[in-house]
Amino acid sequence: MHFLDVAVIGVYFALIAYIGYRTGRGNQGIEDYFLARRAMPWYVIGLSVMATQASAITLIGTTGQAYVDGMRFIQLYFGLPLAMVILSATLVPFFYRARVYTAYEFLEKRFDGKTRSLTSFLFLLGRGLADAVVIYAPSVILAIVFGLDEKTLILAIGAGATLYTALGGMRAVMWVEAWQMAIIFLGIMFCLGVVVVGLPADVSLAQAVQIAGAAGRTETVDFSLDPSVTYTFWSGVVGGIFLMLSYFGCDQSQVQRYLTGRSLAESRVSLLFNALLKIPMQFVILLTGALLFVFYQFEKPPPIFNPVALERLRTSEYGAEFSTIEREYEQAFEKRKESASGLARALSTAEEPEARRLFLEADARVSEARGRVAALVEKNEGAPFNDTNYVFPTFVLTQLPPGAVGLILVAIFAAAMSTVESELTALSSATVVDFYRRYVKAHGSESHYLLVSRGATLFWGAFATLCALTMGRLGSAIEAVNRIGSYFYGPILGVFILAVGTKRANGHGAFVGVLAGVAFVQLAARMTDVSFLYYNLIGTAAAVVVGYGISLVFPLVRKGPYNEA
Amino acid sequence: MSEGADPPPPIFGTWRRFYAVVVANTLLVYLLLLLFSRFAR
Repeated sequence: MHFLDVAVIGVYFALIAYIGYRTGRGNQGIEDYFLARRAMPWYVIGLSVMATQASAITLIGTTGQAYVDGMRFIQLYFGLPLAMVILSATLVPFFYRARVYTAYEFLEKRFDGKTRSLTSFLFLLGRGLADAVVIYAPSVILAIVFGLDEKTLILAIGAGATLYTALGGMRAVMWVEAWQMAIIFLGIMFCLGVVVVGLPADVSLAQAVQIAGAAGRTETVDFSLDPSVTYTFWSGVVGGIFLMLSYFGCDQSQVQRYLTGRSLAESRVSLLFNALLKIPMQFVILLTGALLFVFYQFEKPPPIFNPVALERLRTSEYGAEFSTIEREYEQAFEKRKESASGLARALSTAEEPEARRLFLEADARVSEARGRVAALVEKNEGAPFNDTNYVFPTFVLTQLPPGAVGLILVAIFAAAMSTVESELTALSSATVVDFYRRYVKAHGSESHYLLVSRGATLFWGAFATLCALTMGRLGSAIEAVNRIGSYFYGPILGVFILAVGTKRANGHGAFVGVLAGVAFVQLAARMTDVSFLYYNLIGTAAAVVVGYGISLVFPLVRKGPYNEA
Repeated sequence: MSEGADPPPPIFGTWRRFYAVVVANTLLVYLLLLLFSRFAR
């Protein structure tokens, strides 16, 4: 790695350590440590919320997704702005009035202890391992593409984020995240600029977008009504609203952020800020990927983007077969390059239809050769192969000048660490507030809880980092648990709807409703082929219907300030 | 919580108007993306 890149990375780590130290001093209790004394301005909360959601895989994978499959992925976010409006008008004021530390604490005020403990436990179960995946996934990709040591990367991301989160608490984390989000923005815009500048001089940006469009990479709205198609306008709006309501309304890593607002208005504005910026930001990331596809029409990409798997294939028993395909791939690429130039010249002329036909034929030949190489890699590795996440890092390594590579690596680190530190603060707050203070020591001093909170943060950070270090061996088991964790969000949203939207729902109903919701989502996942975007809708509906029904059959009389919703 | 205690940014006047702006902006974004999808192919 060039010393300029190392210097940029060094400056980044020094900067976040400095910001973390400056802003995280003077924590005196858990309201300081977990909620930044409820004194944060809206723009820091808004950037922190966005940084939490934008993991490294969002940055790396989304560009690769647009390169391989086009920009249809943007529809995943269609429900987000509407979900932000709904949350600002409904759940956020309830959380505020209740003066809670965790989203689940509110459920005890409204229902009972067992509902609070169950939902908080499900959160810990789902997020504890997800944090390990957030550390592991980018580390393994960066290690392969940049030839760095995987364990060093895991330790830099995991231990780095854990250290300043444990010491500085929420205020340090949120200020660091605001800066990290700025770095991510800068990195994305820089890459978009490099891709555009890297296009041939005779291909304008408008022509590049049309070439991407000709290859189906610019489809951003699909009105298909087929529920098995993952990304459509309808799955994005309907399924997406429930997905985003579940995530932003019930996941402690997000709720904790807007609980830090110095007023209810600041918290609401931070969510609405996110509502306005999220889709445009995703559009820029996806457009970068789609234009990367055009860039690689004129600059020969490797047949597959995973250099380690490619090298293993070259030296394997399939090496000779690969060499033959590689020659065909090179010929197909030259043909496609010629036809892409031809299409750029023919746009808006009478020759355009014929130029499009030639380009699509050439592109299909390149894709076919690439598919045959991927099939050989699968045979050689004995496992399914997908190089979507390797496209963007390969571009960065091979096309960017020294220093700029460091900047993009820093943006990827920032995206990974911002998600990790948010999860750590959320996991430790749920552990301490929902379990330790609830069941172990109810009347400790503030300094005692602060010490325990720091310990819980260190514990979860060490747990996530160690799981990430061993994930190569645990692999599919952790992925399975992680996937199951994502099934909990819809049912938990259902419980919150019962809590704030009904008067008759009670603790027994809410508790059974969560379990029923999880069961329905499992059934939907196993027995149907509906898009995963609808799982939260199914889980929410099941939890509300079953929870409300049980509450009517087994009514409870319980008085409290939040029963009168 | 009443609007008086937690007013929205002055430019919007009321929370309802702020929400309406966000929803309208979202619809506009859908429309722009639809146009992008249709014309960039």
